[in-house]
Amino acid sequence: MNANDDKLQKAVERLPREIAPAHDLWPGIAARIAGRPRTVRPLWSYAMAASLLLAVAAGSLWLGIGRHAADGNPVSASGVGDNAYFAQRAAFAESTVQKATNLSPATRAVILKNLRIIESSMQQIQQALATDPNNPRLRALLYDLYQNEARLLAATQQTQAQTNVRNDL
Amino acid sequence: METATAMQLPNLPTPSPAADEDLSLTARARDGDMAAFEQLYRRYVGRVYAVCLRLAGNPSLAEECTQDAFVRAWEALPKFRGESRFGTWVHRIAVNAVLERHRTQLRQAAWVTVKDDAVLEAVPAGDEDPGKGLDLEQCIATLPPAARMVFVLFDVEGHSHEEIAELTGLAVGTSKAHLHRARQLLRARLET
Repeated sequence: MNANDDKLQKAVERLPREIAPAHDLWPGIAARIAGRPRTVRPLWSYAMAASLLLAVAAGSLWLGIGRHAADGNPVSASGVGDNAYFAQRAAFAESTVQKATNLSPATRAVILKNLRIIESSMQQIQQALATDPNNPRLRALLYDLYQNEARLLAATQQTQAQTNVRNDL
Repeated sequence: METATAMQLPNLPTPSPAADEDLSLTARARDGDMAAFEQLYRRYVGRVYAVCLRLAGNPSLAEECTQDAFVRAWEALPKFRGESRFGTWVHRIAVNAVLERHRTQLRQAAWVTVKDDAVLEAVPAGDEDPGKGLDLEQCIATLPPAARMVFVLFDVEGHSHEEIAELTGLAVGTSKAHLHRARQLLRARLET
């Protein structure tokens, strides 16, 4: 082994085992995995998720327009960036989960915890969008988060609906 | 009567607290607990990103592959049996995520012979200050893709040529040739 072999080997041994990425990658990962099914679901459940998403989006938009109109202020470009909006969404999500009485309290707690992670990720992305409003990656991530939140809520409602049907039989 | 405390227990290896915590977090994440999965992410992102960065040679691609690795791990968690540590498992997923992105380059590399210096010597000069000495990370990033991947997998990650052949689809001989050239190129940079 010559001096250069030795130098190379020593340099390899000195390489750090861990390197922190320049950005926190968790919000992007959370956006991609939240509510993502790990098993095959029937097609109608996707339709239900889509309809719920529309309902949430329409409701939020209506609330936003109403509030801004009442204030006499124009609606912001995103229309959804402030704390009151997130508080409304969080309250809606929490009430949906609490109504799923067929689920154990522990399961409801896990779902609520996941919803809070999604909401926190949404707020972080909204803050980033405030300084970089046209960033397509951030907008796509935010869109994914809305969809994932809706899927998670739809799945929760779906289990409750199935229990109600069984109880009716 | 013999009590349980007086019984001689076999000399079993004691699991470390970190391994115990991994098991508990993995079980919770398998049940859908994203907060537990986030803790696993925080614990292992440094190692996963390091291997992605060295294999990909590009920070933004390394970030994408790191994200892909954790998303795939989340999806595959129900099938994870805990035969290895979560960190080892997600590390392997990350290596595959980077290699998949480079599949085309690896297919081309399978046809590159050791004497094909036109390709292998095409190493752009790093922008490090020569007076500051060697920055091996930067030198690795400037290696041609196949040579870089084989070097990282063999010399940094400790895989055998047979394992590298299985992971990359390269022949064992080709893997050895790429390693030889990678070391030559890095040594040449060391001399400067």
